[in-house]
Amino acid sequence: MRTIFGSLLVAATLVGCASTHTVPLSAAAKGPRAAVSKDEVLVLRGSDPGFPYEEIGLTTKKGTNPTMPEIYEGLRSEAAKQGGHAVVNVRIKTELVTVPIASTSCIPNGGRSTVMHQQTTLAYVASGTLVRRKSR
Amino acid sequence: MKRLLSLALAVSLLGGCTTVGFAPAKAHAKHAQRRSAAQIEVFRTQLPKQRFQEIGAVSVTGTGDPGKLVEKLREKAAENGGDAIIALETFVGGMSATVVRFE
Repeated sequence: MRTIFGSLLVAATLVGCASTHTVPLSAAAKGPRAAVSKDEVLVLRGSDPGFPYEEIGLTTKKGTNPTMPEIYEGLRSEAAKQGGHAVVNVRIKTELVTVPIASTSCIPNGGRSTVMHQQTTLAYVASGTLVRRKSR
Repeated sequence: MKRLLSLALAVSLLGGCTTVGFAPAKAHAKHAQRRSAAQIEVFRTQLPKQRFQEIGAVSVTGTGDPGKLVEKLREKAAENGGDAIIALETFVGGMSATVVRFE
């Protein structure tokens, strides 16, 4: 039981830490834009999406225990929502972090006992430049 | 002691297995495999001489023999239609690289 509570709490903590957002790079980039289909969005570590573009923002995704598909999917969804056609120059930084974890167990008199301990996990920040195709 | 145990657990988890992933540059894009893992060229600071297109990225988490981790990246790149991996990077607990296909 204690393990189950602990696992649930770890999962909740990890989900709570994940976030994706975009910072506009210029005043002009703040204008309203129509969303783009996720299927159209390119996510690249390089800087050539194959079309002329203008930079509209800096997109970042933070979380723990990274997998490349999950990171790309997060950046792609955010880009589509922001009306971008690609996220270029994607870079990922990782570090080991120690986070406090609480384990709760039921005790015989009907109460609960909570013990705090620490767990080491791999945290990451993925960032890239959000760009929009330039109309000719 | 608990802290030490947690750290030991994390290290053993990182070292005990490897997880390999491929993320396509364009969602749902598929490229037919045309090379074996052994034929995948690996570049870190240089680029292939041929013209190429970036088709995605691969990553592997795990520690241990770096040669084995690179081999995992090669296998995943080959499966997904890559001809080479470039910009190979290491990070805490793994490696990542860009997968490219020659034009």
